[in-house]
Amino acid sequence: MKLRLLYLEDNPDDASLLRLKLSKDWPDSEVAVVANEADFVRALKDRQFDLILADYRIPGLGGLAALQLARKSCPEIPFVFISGVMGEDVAVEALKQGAADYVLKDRLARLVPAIERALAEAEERARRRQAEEHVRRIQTELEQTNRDLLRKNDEIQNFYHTLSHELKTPLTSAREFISIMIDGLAGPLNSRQLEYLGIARQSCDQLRVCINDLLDATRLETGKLAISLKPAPLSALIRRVVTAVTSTATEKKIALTSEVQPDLSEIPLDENRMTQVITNLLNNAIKFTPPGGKIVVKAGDAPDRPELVQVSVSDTGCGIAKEEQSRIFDRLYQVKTGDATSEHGVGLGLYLCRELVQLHGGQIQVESKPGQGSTFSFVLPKSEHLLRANLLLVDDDPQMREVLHELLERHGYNVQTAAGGREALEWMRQKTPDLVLLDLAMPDLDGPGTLKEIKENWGGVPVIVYTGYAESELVKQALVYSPFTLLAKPCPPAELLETLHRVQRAGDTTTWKRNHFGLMKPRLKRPRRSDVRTRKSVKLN
Amino acid sequence: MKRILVVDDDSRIASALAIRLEAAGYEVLSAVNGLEGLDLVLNQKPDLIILDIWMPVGIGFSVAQRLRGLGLKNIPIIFMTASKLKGLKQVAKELGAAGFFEKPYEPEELLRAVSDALATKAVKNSNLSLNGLKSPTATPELQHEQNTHHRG
Repeated sequence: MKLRLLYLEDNPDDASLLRLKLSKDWPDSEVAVVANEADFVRALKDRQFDLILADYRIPGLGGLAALQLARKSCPEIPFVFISGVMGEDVAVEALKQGAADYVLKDRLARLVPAIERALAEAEERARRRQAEEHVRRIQTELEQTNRDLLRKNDEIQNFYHTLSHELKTPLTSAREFISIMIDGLAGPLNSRQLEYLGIARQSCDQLRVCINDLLDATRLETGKLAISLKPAPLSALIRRVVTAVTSTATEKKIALTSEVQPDLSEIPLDENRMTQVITNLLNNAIKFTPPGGKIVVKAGDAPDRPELVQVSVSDTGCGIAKEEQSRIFDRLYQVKTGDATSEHGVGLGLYLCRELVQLHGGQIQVESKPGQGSTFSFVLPKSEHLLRANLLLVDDDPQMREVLHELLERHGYNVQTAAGGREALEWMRQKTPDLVLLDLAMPDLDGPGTLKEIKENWGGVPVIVYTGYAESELVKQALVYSPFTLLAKPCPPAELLETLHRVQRAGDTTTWKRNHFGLMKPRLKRPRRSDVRTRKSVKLN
Repeated sequence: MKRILVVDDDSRIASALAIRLEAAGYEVLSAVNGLEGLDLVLNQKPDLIILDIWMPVGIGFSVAQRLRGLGLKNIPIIFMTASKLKGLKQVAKELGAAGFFEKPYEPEELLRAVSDALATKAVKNSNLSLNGLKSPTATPELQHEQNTHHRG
């Protein structure tokens, strides 16, 4: 390797001596000697060298001043002092300020090894810088992708809103003109005409439910379906729904009864959404139960789980085959009845039921025996406290901890704080949280170390790493333990909350896959092992 | 006979509403966009407005806002929309809507909302004229109307 040296030296004899020494030990080297500040500065600008040698005593320019000049204009190039006399304290100060090494003029044998070592370290630094650059680029890309996805989300959302608006407008006039005829505003009708128009109007209503379900499904997919839970009486809600569908059941000669536990207290509900769930289950039951059948709605304390309320809808319908039971709540899944004439939905109803029940913090299931009937039941927590997600906040900065703690508690999280990695793991062992918000730069066990432990022992718990660019070295280390979600610090509260919600719903973003709308969620490339090097401590001797 | 203005860019819905409302004994005016609607409000003084929210020219909310700005606060407005966008109902409420209907609407419910709004308005107006007796100046509402003539 050809070595190009810049040598700051005012004594021509010393310069010649060094040139001679180097030409012997390192034949392929080139030494440019400068003797004063002006020439030194000019040479620094040109950057045509791999290493700087400098005499510590240059008249008019102290050794440390020369070092500072060099650090400022080309910090990546190693700087080695060479001096006749250099005290220990001066040498230490020089190294502190960034000199790579120092060599005494009467011990020039050390020169070549010192140069070799300085060059090797510089190379290592350059590699590390490259790796950091790489991490920073990934981080920027990730942020950009996230922004793009959010925009895409909005576009999808807007598209479905427009679509639903455009579908409902003609539906409205169709339904209203049918109603006008049924109500006799266009002249008298015979009974057959009335019956047919009644069927047409029912079809309009079915179409409306379909369009609304489609819109809700899109909202769910794009994370925009928010429910607001307020304590409300479930029993009254069930009564209302049962009353609303009774006429449909009676028309089909189905006996619809309800058994609601009388002392059922108010529980956190989004009344509109819960109405939608129970209506949907009842309409399904009516649809699949033959005339003369029975449907029973029950609500009360869940068996063996006093903290939960259980609601069930049982019918004496055709039932659901075992292999279909596990898939019946899937999006767009349609039960194969083998009956060509029976009505099919788009396969969104039960999917929405499951999602809405889950948004209430509950769970839904089905039990069925083909030919005998089905029971759909779901449980809901009685107290909102049970609903709040448990979040472990790990940050060594007490102020940051306090601010975030307050913000997150206010937005519906049960927050447990930890001031460091070890404390965090201690809490994890006591109670597994629903998600972890993890700072990277911490004393005791740092972020990457904590992340490693979490991923190894609690792999399913999503982790959001929030970090500043200054910590890109740590991010690089943490990337080995991906997937996790990366959040740049400082981050506006709205973005933090949105990220938390998204992660809560979808898990760690780095494992996102193609979703139902063909939208690619980002898959974060793991850095190659060779890119990830542990920090090498630079010795000061 | 009470006069109702229907503003909807879908002429089929507008005419269905007209048939429905006329059968219930109201006089019906219709407009196909917000601007035309505003014009009719100022010239024909309807007793109630049924206003679609999303229209190409002058969305329902801006029409309502303009009417409030013109001091025509006492004409009840019933909003209608085929959109399920979140927050529309809240905005309607803040604009003092007398009703909010999602399309497709239930005709009986709409007719009930119309007659309720007209009845409430009648009660309010009688209170207003009582106040008017106490004070020699014109009611604020009338003052505003005069201002609009100057502006026009």
